[in-house]
Amino acid sequence: MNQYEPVIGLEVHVQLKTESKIFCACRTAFGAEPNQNTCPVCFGLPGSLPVLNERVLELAIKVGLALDCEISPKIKFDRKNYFYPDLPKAYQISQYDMPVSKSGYLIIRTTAPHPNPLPRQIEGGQAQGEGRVRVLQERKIGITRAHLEEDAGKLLHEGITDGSWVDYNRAGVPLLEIVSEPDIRSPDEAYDYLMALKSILQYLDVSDCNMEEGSLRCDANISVRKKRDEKLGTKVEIKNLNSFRAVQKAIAFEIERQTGAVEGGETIRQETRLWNEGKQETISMRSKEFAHDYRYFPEPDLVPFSVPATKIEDIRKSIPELPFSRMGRFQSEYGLSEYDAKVLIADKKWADFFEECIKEKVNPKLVSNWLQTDTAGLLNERKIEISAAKITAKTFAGLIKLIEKGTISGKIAKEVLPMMLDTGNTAEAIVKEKGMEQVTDVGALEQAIDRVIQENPGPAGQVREGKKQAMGFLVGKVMQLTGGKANPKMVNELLAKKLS
Amino acid sequence: MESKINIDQVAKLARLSLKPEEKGKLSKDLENILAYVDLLQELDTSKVEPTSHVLPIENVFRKDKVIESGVRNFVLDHAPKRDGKFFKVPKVIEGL
Ligand SMILES: [Zn+2]
Repeated sequence: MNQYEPVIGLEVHVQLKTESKIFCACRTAFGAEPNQNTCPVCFGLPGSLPVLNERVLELAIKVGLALDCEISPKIKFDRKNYFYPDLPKAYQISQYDMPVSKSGYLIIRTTAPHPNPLPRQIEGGQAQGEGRVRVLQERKIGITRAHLEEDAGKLLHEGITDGSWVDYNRAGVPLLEIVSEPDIRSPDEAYDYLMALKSILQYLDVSDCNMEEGSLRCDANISVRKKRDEKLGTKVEIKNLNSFRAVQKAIAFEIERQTGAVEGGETIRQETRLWNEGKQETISMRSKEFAHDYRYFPEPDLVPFSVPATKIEDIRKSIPELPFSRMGRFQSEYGLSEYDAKVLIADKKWADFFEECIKEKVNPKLVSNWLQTDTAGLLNERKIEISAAKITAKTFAGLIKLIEKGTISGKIAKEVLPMMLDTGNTAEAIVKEKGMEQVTDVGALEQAIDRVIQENPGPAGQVREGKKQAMGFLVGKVMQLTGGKANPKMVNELLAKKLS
Repeated sequence: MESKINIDQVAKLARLSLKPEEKGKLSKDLENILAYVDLLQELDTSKVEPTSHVLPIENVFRKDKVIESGVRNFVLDHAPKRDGKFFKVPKVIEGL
């Protein structure tokens, strides 16, 4: 049996949503021409002076408050010194000992197994239509600190053989680095932590959280130790993680590698490793001898900051309902299972869409099911976001109403939904145009039933003799005959009456 | 007396290549500076608030507003090596 456990901490860099950079007036927008968004300040030219962007500090405090951190009464910036061509000044303005916020936590809900979960264990609801029961456990992940820093430029190696190109557009873009405590115990839990954190950042509207554009990045620190050992093992840092799935896979790989090494009597070297997506493995970076000697010292070009309590209270008031409490409300107010609520709240756009639908007075559980299964699948296939889809909360609620009223069956609704997504037409218009209304006319149904009984004397006889299994076959035949439009409940009742 | 200064490490971090005779002289200079700091450390500063800035001011901000600097070409022209809209540097790929 495996006697080792992993200890994982994550460092997340998130780009704060501002128009201009952290210390200068250059644009932050993605996709500009190389070196277009630059000025003497972010180039670090002599005589230039950085000045803090007010909005950056507000957004950083907002995140700190949402993660239950203490907001530092005194905030200062420091220089982190190292030489690298993506760093024009040969130092990065960051925060060393007086970060914006510290000592917070994030509660995640996860299905990942854990040796010591919090006492409260919640029974996960059943995701309807899937028949799987998922047990979610609450886990508290500590937040060590969240500090501000400027991003570096970008080095490009592709398409050039005799050197590297440098683009300084990102130099000076505002980043908030959120450092977790080493409280994470599995790759799945790391994934759930990242999803929960991203969800909060999106609810707060402080970042686009777009990994492809570099507005969200993650490094992982991993060590292994004997179970029940208090002391931490030697940690290894993993970089170059380009997606949450990559984080999950790299951690899993690293746990195996380190456990194997320790069991084989090797000692783990403290180092930085890179995740190689192609090979699905971590590889050692050639470590530089004094790589970690950053010689931090206070940034003399920036004054210290202290945020008045009234200002902090104003920012606190601007925090919207966060995913965690929205999840609870979805369960109590709409009667959703915990699992359904968790899936719906994860992405604010979906949760907003859901609540817009509910305003049309339709059954919340029905809306939740139709959103999570069919709609999510169809949008995925079409690679469009719900906010950009041709379907609106109002037209979607229209579809649900037709199902509730029995105008169309669920089967027909599955045909109507993609048409709505592709054309933007209402469910009512599509159903009417295609003649898809459910047949509820007793006369018409009886006609179909009589024909089915006549054509299938065997099964009909079996039902008459009390063998109920044959009923399903006959109902199916009636549905087939009516092009799926017959009301299945009525067909059942009428068939039973006729064959009794 | 053994030197408190690892001059090779200091030189490496500062990207300086020093001749042997310079190493000796600079070690001595740096030691003098450290000795002076030690002298300062003897002062009782327990009632003095720590400061990281020479002026007694705080909370200097700018608004989140974009201003185009228009300096790109000027700066690119003055770079040691320019390649179109990029700066060009010797090949660096960390870790590979
Ligand atoms: Zn700038």
